[in-house]
Amino acid sequence: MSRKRYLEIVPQVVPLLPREAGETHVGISLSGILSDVSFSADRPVQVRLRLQQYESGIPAGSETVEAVWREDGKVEPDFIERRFAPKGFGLLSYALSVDRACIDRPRAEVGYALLMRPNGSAITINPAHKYAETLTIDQIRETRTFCRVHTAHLVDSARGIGNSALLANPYAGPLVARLSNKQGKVISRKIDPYSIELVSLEPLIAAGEWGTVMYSGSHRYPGWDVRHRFENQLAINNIDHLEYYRVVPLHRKVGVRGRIRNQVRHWLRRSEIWF
Amino acid sequence: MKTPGATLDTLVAQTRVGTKCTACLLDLDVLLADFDQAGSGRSIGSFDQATGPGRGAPWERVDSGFFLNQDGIQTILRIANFDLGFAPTEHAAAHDCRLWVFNDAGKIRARDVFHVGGGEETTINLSDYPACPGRGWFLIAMKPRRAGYYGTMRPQVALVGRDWVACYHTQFHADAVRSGRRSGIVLRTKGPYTGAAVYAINGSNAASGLELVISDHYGYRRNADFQLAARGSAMIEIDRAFRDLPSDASLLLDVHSQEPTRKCIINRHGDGSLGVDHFPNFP
Repeated sequence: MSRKRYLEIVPQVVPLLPREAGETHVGISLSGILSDVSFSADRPVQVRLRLQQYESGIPAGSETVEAVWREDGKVEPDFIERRFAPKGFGLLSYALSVDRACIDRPRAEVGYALLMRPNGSAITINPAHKYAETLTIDQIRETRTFCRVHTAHLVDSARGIGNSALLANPYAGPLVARLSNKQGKVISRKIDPYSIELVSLEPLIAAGEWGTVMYSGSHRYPGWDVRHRFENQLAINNIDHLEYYRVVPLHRKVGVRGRIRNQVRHWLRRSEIWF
Repeated sequence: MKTPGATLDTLVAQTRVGTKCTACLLDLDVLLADFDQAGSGRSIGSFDQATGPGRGAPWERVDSGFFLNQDGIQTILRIANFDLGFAPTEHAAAHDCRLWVFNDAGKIRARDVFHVGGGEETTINLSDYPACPGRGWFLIAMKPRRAGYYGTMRPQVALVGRDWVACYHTQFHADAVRSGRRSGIVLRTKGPYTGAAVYAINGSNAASGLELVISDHYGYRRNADFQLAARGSAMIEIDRAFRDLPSDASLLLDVHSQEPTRKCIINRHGDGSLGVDHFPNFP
């Protein structure tokens, strides 16, 4: 049976912070991405990388890079590096496509972007898939609801510790994000098309106490957990993606061999012989 | 979508789906899953079923991560077990958890057993264990008592300094690899310095050699060798291991090992705070 092959990789979204927070470096290795998702080319393949930048919801520049993927696996040009330091908040969306269906897997691990702080140190940023994330799809299929979560938020003004959520809307329509805590408190934030919002979590997290926040909304959206100085949301020291509410089954059907294997592993671990 | 040059964004632009009312974008993702098989392939309502022959059995998730307990930094492990939207539904199953704390030499320095019920959350300060070393790694095994969803159970790890927090999530311990796409991460120098460190965890009972390779896309390449104890770990300062890095350059760090290892990156900032992340874990 022939396998499905695709013409593009699901577009990626990178949040762009205002220049006060630093300069965002995006490095894209075309050969790295293509070798991750596809077999070797048996004839030259035309590769197109399209980058679209938005600032405060308005297109702020676009670029198309044409490349050739040769039979020997090399891509020319291979490494594309761009820097972004917008005045306000922005978004970068980039998509990679090819001229014939030779991609086996349409979602790629594209590598981290870097936010270079004004003093020169780096913060890693995970780009987000714009569409077709497995965990999001499973979540919507099973629950008909979109939900992200983070279980270790902390805001402590006395110690100068701040925490916000960076929520992106990379789509053409507006969305409303709803953030809630276990006490039932909800804050909503409208996010315009192609915009991002840095939402302080202070209203949802009791001072100095660890808390969980769930993120839902009128449709799905990428989000990041941002750690910063309490008095300055743009004095950032850490960015990580929000976690998924995982509709992953806790019980799995396994055969007799799998069941024995699991029990042996469990016993070895409890006996501290093999982890 | 089968037309050459057609893209997902083209589909949205041409059909205008989701551009007025965005609610249907939820459904678009499900349709796209059928198109590109991006979903897991499970059918709707199958969370307590699964693929393959045999009876349903609890799936024990085993994760690991590094910790710091020195220089005024403590490490907090957070596990929350909530249902969707904090609703009192049946999908958040209670878990029995076991925790082991290792030092860099691979010796167990603390162990704990605890329970996280449905609708509960747990905060563990690793520094509270009397024998917790200055740094090392931990392993946590979480076994559900009944069927349900994994939900919010993925542990978060918060490194807490005097006036800052850096947070990352654990990963499957089985994600440990010797080389490949999970073994590389980007760095950037300011002058010749990165301010970065790698924390490597040896997932094997055998000692392992560890090779760090730093390269750029213009021909620069250097390597440095290290040793990891069996079930041990190490924090390797990049600027000590590599003295002649190109200035203001984008670099790729690859970490190769003889045994499967898990890797995290630590970025030091000028104000004493840290940024942390794991190496990519895409399959």
